[in-house]
Amino acid sequence: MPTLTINGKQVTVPAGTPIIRAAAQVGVNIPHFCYHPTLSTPGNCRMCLVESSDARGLAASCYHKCTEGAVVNTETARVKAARQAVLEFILVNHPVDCPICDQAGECKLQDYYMTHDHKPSRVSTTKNSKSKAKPIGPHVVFDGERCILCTRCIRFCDEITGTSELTTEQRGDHTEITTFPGRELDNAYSMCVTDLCPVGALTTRDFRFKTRVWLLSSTDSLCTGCSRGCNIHMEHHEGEVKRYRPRLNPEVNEYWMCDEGRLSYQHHKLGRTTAIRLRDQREVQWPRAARQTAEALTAAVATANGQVAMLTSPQLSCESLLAAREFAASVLGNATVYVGGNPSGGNDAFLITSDKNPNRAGVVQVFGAAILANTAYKLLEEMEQGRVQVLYLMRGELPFDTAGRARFAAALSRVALVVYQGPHGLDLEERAHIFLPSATHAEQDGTFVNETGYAQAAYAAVPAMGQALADWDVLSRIARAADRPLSFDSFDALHATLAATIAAE
Amino acid sequence: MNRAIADALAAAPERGVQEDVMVLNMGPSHPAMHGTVRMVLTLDGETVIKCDPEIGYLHRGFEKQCENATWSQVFPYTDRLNYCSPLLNNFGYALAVEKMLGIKATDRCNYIRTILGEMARLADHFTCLGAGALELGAMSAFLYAVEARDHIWDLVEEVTGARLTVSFARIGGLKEDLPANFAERWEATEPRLWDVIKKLDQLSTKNRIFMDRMMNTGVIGADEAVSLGFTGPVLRSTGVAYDIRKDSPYFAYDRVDFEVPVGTNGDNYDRYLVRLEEMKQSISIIRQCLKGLPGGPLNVDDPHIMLPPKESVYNSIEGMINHFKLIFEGIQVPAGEVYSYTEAANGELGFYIVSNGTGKPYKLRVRPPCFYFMGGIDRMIEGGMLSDIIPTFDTINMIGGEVDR
Repeated sequence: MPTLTINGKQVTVPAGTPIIRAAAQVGVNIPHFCYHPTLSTPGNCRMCLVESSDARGLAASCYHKCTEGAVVNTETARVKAARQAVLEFILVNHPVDCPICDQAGECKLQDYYMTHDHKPSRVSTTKNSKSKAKPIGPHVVFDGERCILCTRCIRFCDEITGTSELTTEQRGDHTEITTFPGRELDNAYSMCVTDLCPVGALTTRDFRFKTRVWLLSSTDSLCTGCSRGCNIHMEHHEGEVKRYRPRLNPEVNEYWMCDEGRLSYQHHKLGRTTAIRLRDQREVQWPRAARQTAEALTAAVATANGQVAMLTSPQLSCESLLAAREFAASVLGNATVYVGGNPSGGNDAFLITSDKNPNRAGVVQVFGAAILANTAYKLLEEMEQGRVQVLYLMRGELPFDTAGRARFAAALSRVALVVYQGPHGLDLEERAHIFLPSATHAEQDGTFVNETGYAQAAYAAVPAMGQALADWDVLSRIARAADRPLSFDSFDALHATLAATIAAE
Repeated sequence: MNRAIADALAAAPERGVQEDVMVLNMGPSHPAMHGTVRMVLTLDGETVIKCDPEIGYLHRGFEKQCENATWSQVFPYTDRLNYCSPLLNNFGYALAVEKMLGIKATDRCNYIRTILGEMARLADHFTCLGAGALELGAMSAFLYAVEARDHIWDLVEEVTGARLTVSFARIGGLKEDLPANFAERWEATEPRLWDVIKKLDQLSTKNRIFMDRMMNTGVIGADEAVSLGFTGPVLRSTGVAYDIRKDSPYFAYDRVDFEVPVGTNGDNYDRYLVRLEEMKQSISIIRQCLKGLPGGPLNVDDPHIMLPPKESVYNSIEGMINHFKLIFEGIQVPAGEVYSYTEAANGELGFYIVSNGTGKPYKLRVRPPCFYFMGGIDRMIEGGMLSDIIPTFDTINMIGGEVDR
């Protein structure tokens, strides 16, 4: 456990800690391009040079280990001159691309130039020409001229995914990142290299030229693509979600997320149905919709002889599920509750899990483990045998294959009253008697419990689209119209009830 | 006064409100209510016994808007404060941010700001005096004054490219230097201004009707004016020689020779005379500044504050990055707070700014000189005649953009 002094501050760190980590502990930020906490340290960018009493010249703080009694200085004239020289060299061949570069605004090169260099260049040579806008995989575009050759992307593919698609070719200032012959950057986590890239050399094809990043607002949220529950920055502009970026959580997803999850932001807009429909009536407002739905449900439940079912979903947050539980017990007259959700899919040994729903553990917490026996298949059989008179569907994701989905659609016609509440129309909107639009998890607060049991919060980032409302709000309005108000009248009250319920059960 | 009437009405209710006093709405859409102000007047015959001014019809949320704009993006908003003299608002705001940054504008910049500022003051005073005469029936005085203002605006256009919403100041300098022929243009303009000042003087100062309407109307005493926060020509007309250009010099005001004219009575006539004299002083200041205009750089030499030249932005990555960061993140102003004040055409224009160390103001509050006049105008109007409101409201020169923000 060496103790050393960094900029006059003493710090004790475990043996083998690089100076850059020790400095971070005492609040000293050392600029760096190629260093990344989870990757190996080639020390090739030279941006993190510092003065250390135990080094002969300037030491690269990303791999120079802390030694007992060392005195480190990160802001001496010599260090500053070295940083300026590094930046001046990097910028010699950097193209004047900021106006057409997606990275502008979150670019380390821009940041460091302003804080550490800020001098005009003394070099006037023609800039090198290299690959421009070259797709190197299904999701990533490469720009060789912008690349500063930190090799983070290469090390990511070698050390994190183990797929080793990338390498460098040529020498000196002709060096370029490239894929190995005959290969492309096509792994399940390929877009992580665009987060790692400190400049605009690697950008995602999806986000390319969509929005300038300084216009984006960011809300802490979760990816709902599978039961991992990767933490994300949900980034949005003018009420529209523009992209997901992984948010550091060492317990869940570290710095990463998969490509499929990253692109699942599109579901906040794609395929949305956001207008209420009451049988053949459209352009209906919520007060009337709630009243007529309540009347229809009350009448149907009264004559259904207990043949009432509700399909909930592990796509819903715990709060929505609790509201559904109360709704099923009161308004639906102790309806039988079933669990839908997306069918299972592939998994890997890293982040991707086979359960493509974010909150199955939450369903168990809210309804108890026995609920899992009430599968959607069981509901389908009940429907086909005509034992379901009233069906309340929450979310339209169903764990069926194509044939199963067709069977379900056919069986719906045997049900006297089908109410479908969900953000997407899917093929259910026109088959239901009543469709009520609800919000996605970008538009409402909620708690999701991931596969390993972490309850994590996702916060509302954008206003709900069209007539959509938060799930609890939809249920609450119908319940009030049916004269059986639920026990809460705000999300906060519902959240408190949830905490109390789970603590008690 | 109001209490007395209320008591009288209570004592003899059978007389009824209608017989004694009349409540009259003057404005907000009244030609003499300069823009949009409403005065709820209680009249006893033609005597104003109560005046209740109501402002806010031109509220744009200036101060709130500024919190969502970078420091540089605030300039166009300041144009719209006192829209009779936008340059003075520009410079006042630039000075406030410079104070916060701890930088000083260059000598040349200070001189040019002084010149342009005094030109704006001239335009403002011409507008005020011309409109005032017009509202008292002197149409020709107004036409002369507005012609003079146009000459000034021609010059302003030559320098800034715009006549009204100029946005010409920059933090740490100016958008551009004066054009090469500026001094010649001024030489040609100056005699025309003298002409008009003389004509205004001849048409108004000894005019019987003008004097009757202006003298001993809208009176305010020195003590009361000070305690109400009055500044500028309105305060000086009462005999208090408070002028920030003299008392706390900025720009090049400590290097020019000028007088601060004061009145004695604090009435409309004195305010008119003070403005007339100030215009002569402004012309003298401009002459002196043009004579002593120093060479050297126009803007401060700090790439964290000034945008790089365009050829460097388009042709080098260093310039491009610099430009980008200053535009989308804004100039990084250290955390702290500052109150900075300048002598605008109507008095003390103050900017109270709080920064949290980012590229946007955390809070920006304007102290507009007119706001305080509106707080005290009832005392200048009550007890006077209804017709006295017209010259009084003109000589305080309330500007809606500045009062309501």
